[in-house]
Amino acid sequence: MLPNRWNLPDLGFGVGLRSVHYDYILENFPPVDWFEVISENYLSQGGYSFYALEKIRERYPIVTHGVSLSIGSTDPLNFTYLERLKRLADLMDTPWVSDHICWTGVNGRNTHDLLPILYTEETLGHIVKRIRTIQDFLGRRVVLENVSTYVEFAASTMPEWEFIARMAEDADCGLLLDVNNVFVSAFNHNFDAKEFIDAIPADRICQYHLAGHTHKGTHIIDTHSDHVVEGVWELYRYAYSRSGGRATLLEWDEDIPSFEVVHAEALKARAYRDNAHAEGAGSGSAIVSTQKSEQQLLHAFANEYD
Amino acid sequence: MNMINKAHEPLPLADFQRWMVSVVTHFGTDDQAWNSDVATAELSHDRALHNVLPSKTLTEYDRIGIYRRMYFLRMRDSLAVDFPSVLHLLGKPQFEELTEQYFTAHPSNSYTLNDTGLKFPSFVRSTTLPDKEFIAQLAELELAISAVMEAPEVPPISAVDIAGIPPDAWDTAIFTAVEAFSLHEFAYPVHDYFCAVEDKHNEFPNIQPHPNFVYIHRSNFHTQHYALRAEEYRLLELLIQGTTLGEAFEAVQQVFTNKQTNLEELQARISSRFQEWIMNGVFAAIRT
Ligand SMILES: [Fe+2]
Repeated sequence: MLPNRWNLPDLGFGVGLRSVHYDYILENFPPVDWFEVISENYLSQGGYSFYALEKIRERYPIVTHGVSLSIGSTDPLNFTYLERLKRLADLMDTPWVSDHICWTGVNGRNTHDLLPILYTEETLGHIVKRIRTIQDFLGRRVVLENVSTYVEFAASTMPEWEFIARMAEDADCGLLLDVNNVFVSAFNHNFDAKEFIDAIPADRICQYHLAGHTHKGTHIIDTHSDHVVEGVWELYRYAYSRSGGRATLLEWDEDIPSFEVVHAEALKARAYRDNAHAEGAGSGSAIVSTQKSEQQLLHAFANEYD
Repeated sequence: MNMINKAHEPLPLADFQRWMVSVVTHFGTDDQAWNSDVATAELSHDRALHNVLPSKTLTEYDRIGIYRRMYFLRMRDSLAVDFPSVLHLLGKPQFEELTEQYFTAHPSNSYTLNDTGLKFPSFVRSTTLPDKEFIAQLAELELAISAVMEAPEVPPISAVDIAGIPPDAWDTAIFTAVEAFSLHEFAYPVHDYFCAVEDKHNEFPNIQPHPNFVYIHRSNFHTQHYALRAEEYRLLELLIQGTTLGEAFEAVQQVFTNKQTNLEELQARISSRFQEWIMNGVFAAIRT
């Protein structure tokens, strides 16, 4: 087990903050270790959302997690966006700023999706330069997350895990390892998820993501609409046994259940983490069994997608 | 990696990205999207087909199609959140058709989905939809409500401040509204329609010209919308423009006193409405 190379804090087990839970959190202040917030929802710093965030910030650590950095786009960096992001990051005093290894559009057009990267030397050089610029501008460690993808390209010259490892080293950035996304892409592209995890420099992992997905038979869609499946928990345990203590966060974005259910799902990670520690210490590797998932409730989006 | 039967061929990053966005944001069939002029200007159909790898279960079209389908659903849902009453009026099939036309004309160029609907009212006016002016004004009302919801919080004047104003200073008092406030005049009964969608006890109006006056206001993070009479609208309009209270009352009385409305009734009504605005926290400051 390697320590995180920048000694960024292991924040424990957190939950992605969603607006449906604001009132519950502000009334009950549940014993959650930390919250991750979608940066774009708070950049205007107005309305009830921002008020709720400021109140929550008084009691919990907050990490900002963006979806619009578009690090891989050939468009110029959007410094209006980055200025607002910096202001939010400073206000929240986030220990790092995260976003995704993807691009969201080009020629000024935003698809609002996490589009797949072409894994080439050209893309690598382009992204590395941009990460360095952004890291300097924000004055904080940038931490980038692997995304779920549904397509691969013949023009790519290296596998995703090699691209990510080289990107992190060359740009000197952190990584957010989303084990559900590894699971989803491994199924969609028929690769070995453990080979992916083995290639990721463990000392650059600053955070883990866990989430549910929707299995369509021929492929898996990353919907964040359900409990975490057993295979993803197993990958988390595996990754954890390599990296050790890192902030872990559960994402739930569609068919969002009560806060207690989401929090309980996040806390299941503790059992896998303990198990990974035990394994790391050489005392066996039995998988701790977890509650069976409740009946899957598919959101309209997941249902409608076919 | 699934390097199924396709040799590596270098591809400039910018060409690839422009191609991908043109296909993902095209609302036609897969065939139409891959063969559109915009897409083939970046990569020929064959070149693009060579670059996209199939999986064991999905074709090249299927795999890119996942992104295409999700783009449509995301954009439609984004508009549906902004314009629930327009969706109610048009019904889902027509709303979806309009979504496609709208985002073809005005693709998002903002980092936030909150901005995607800003050009929707003017776009609706440019269509051949029957009742397009009604729909455009309904959309403007819905945008205005969202804007008030997201406005910065400014504390209203307190009861202590109000109590401290000497009685003879009210006549020359000048008011400033809080940021989470807006005032609107519509030529169509779009507020009546909005209220009917919100609460099934309200009746749907006829879609014919009939003025609706509305103010939208947020207090303690609860956003409310209130119907106004013409004279109340005029009074509030004058006040937020910086007219003194005395002059505003005077102007409203001159315009709105007629055979049907006697002066005392009008004064009583607008005075009580004015007090209601003060109590509701519409004003951030009073200058005397
Ligand atoms: Fe994630």
